[in-house]
Amino acid sequence: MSGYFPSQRAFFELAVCLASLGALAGCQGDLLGSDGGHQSAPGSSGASGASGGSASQAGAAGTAPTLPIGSSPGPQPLRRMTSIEYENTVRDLLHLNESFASGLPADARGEGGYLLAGPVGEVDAEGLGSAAERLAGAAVGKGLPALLGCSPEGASETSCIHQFVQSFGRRAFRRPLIDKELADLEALFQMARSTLQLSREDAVALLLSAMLQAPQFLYLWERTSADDLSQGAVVALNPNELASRLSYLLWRSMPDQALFDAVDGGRLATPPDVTREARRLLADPRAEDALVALVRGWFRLPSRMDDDLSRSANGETAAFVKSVLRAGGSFSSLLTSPTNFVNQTLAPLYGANGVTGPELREMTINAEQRFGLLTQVSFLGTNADGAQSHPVKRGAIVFKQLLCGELPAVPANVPPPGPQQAGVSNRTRFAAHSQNACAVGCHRILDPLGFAFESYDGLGRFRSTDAGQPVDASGDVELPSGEHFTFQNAGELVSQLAQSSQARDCAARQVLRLALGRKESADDAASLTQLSGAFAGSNYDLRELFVSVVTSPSFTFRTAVAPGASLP
Amino acid sequence: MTVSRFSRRALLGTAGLSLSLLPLLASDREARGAVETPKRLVLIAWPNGVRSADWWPDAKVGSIDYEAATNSGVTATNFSFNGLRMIEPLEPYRQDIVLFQGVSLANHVEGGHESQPEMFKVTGNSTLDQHVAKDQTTPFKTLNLSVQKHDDRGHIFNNGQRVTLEQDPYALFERLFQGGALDQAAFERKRATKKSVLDYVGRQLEGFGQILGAQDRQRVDYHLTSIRELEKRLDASKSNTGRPDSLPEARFDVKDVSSFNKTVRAQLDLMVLALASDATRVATLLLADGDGSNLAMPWLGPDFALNTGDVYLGIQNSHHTHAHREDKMHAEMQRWFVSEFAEFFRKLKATDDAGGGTLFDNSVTLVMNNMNTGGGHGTNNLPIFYAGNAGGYLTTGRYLKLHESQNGILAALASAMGTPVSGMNELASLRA
Repeated sequence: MSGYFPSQRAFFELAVCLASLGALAGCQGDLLGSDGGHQSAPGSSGASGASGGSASQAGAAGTAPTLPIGSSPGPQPLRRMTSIEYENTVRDLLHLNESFASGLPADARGEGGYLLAGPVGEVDAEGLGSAAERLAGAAVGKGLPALLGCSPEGASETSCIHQFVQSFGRRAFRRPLIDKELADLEALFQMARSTLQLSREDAVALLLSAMLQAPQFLYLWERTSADDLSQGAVVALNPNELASRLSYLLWRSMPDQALFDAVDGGRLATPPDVTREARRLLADPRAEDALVALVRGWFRLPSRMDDDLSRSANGETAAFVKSVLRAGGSFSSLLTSPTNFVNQTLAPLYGANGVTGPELREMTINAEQRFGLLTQVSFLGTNADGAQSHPVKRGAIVFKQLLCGELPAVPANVPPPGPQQAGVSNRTRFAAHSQNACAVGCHRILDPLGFAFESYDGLGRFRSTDAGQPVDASGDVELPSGEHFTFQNAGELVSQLAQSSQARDCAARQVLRLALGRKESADDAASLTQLSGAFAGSNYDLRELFVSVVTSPSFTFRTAVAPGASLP
Repeated sequence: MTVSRFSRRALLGTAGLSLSLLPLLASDREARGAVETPKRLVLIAWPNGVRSADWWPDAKVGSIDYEAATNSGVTATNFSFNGLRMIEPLEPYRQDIVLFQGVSLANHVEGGHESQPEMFKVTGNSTLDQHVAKDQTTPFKTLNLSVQKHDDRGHIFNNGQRVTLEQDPYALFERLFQGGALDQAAFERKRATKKSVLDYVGRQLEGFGQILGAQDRQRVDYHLTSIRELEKRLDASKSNTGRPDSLPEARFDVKDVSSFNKTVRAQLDLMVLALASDATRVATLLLADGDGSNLAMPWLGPDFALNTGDVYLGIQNSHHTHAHREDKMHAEMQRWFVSEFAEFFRKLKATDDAGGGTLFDNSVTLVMNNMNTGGGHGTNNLPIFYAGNAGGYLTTGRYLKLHESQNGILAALASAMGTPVSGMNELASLRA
């Protein structure tokens, strides 16, 4: 761990000490997360007092979040809403009845393996501008009083706009606006009215469009100053930040009114508060989509939807994950549940008879052949070369994603497997490839994990022979950790994976990666211990990982980076 | 057909293009005070390799006499593409092309499908187009387009930041021709409205950056730069006279694989339009994923359909599967890509450039596949060629066999555009 400068170390220890003593509430607000130098707006005392109020309540209750002595949270890199989060957010912010097609570019996987919004280039900036204009036009089209919450006629225009900017801004920016922000927006509206001579409707649309393009809306950063962000300091998220992190993790959208109310009422200050809200959010159907997103990143399933087969296979994954959640949400059932969701496109691949139509139908096809995600078309078909299976790709997903195994870098110029030949099974072909001296180290692990799935071709169809030879799906693998798998077929491997301590610990790591938008580091050791403990304590309920992660040090604290300074 | 409708309405037909855009071109350039005839750079990437016997002119034994030794290989001018199934559509442009053999990808750690991001890099942090675009003063410093890319592969980099690719020709059209058919007063009002919002967003970003650490601030600064570019572009658009008035009503789904050909053609046509109107001088187009695994080409005939009613057969028909087999269908699919490139060159040649000559004369288009053969996926001996001599800077009409990385070619193109890359040596034999 990189060392602290003496003063920051002292600062850190003081913060921990105060937090664990739960005393000195007045100081705590400054140290742990309220906006230092917060400028409160006239007439916004209720909202702006929230962070201070909650901090003092937390102090009085003696249960403010604590950081285990000797541990340190990692940094939390700046995140912007992904296109899905943007679409969900504007739906909730503007109370739209239907989903909004933003047309924003698709997001790519970040370092942790989960979708992250990329840097805003010109294409993105124009896309955000165009989406904001369309949203603003539609919102104004429904009538100003409905949008503004007041009548802007005549002399009351200025006060009505003031009220709107304040109340709508609190929801859009996910925190109370500071004076300067209010003034900037009101000035923008006045300029639109006087200089640009816009109608009241057009000026409100301009105002709304500007707010929807503002960094305060687009970036998940609910802070107004950097006064408490000295380099390397341990900073607790303030309640507005916590609310936002919670809702974007569990709903992929902005906080709802109840969550805002909890913040403003000082009821999102202690770990039990956070746990209570997390459970409330997890009980909502919107949280199911967040778990589907977890599984997609975790198992590296693509979300392409550009042809019937992709749409069907992705649809099955989503429906399957939701069914697992409704049936208790255990990790092992994700890997072993014999439920499939089949339509006319998937039916021939699964050998399911009598399925017609594009609707996915829940069914059990053959519990000997189909058991959980690793025997579904989405996983098997993604990790293939056309119609032929690709054991190394399959083994690599199992090792790297399900077991969180680390491989050395692929050596340069490893020749690809030879061409397919009549009478030579795929396993034989790949086994020859892996005799390359440079490839042995990795393939000793990857190949057997992949060969377990040789009973499924590149489309995921079950087979007992390959190129006329009986399929050999047996294997024996010893992981670097010492864990050992011996199996005759995919079913036996999957059962062992479902009980594997390394796979369970990996599940905790994956949730942390999703929650933080980065890969775990040594800083996250305490959080991972907490997550693994909670997972075991819940008999490996996936939802409990989410409950646990939102109270973990890595989620609720971060190591601050001073303005202009580099990551510690 | 939606595609022909799109072409007509967007004035993308050759005749319409040169007639309608010349006044615009002249006035825009005048407004910017440009005097020299500008040069244009286009980069195109396409996936899944070739079959040697369908691509290289010397695959026909004894058909080529190598005339001259270059600093790093041999060169021929008496080659032909006739009879080579994949590259044959370029035969009419043979004298305008340099085809390379023996070029291997530099700086790659993984071969095959993973190598796309490395193809156009000239420095550790930027691709050639972004390097050249730095000094451009056109409304769009660069256009970065793609068709149906889904994954992380094959990106354009600007100083380490991944540049978002424009996948949707309809959205691109809107970006190129904002304002539509508004009268001048309405156009001015819309421009002022947009400008005031951008100004607000820019100021908020400035303040926001002040409270962030260096890495986060860099992201916000990049966002701010984008906003400033949009402001500059608004300033430059004094009127909307002469702009195509609207988009086609019948849209095709740009994300559906069966629309791939329409989307590719539309993106290429819009590139011609953008280059001709001097909206930009630098454009990239990345075609399909590195592996093209979902791509089928039903427009080539019933044998090529993605959904044949049999899912199994449909998947077998993918570009990727045929590439692995290097079969006849692979040849036909790659021939289709190459014929689209030929059509692009035809349009560049048919468009008069305001400063003299044609658009083709004043441009260079580099086309690169990221692997050699469909079966092997190697990153040595890549199929690479360029077309056009960039206003007389580059040699053409050559088949050049050498053992080099692509860096010398990229460096030569950078110099041709007037922005040499320091520390990268251009391949001297490419100078005219």
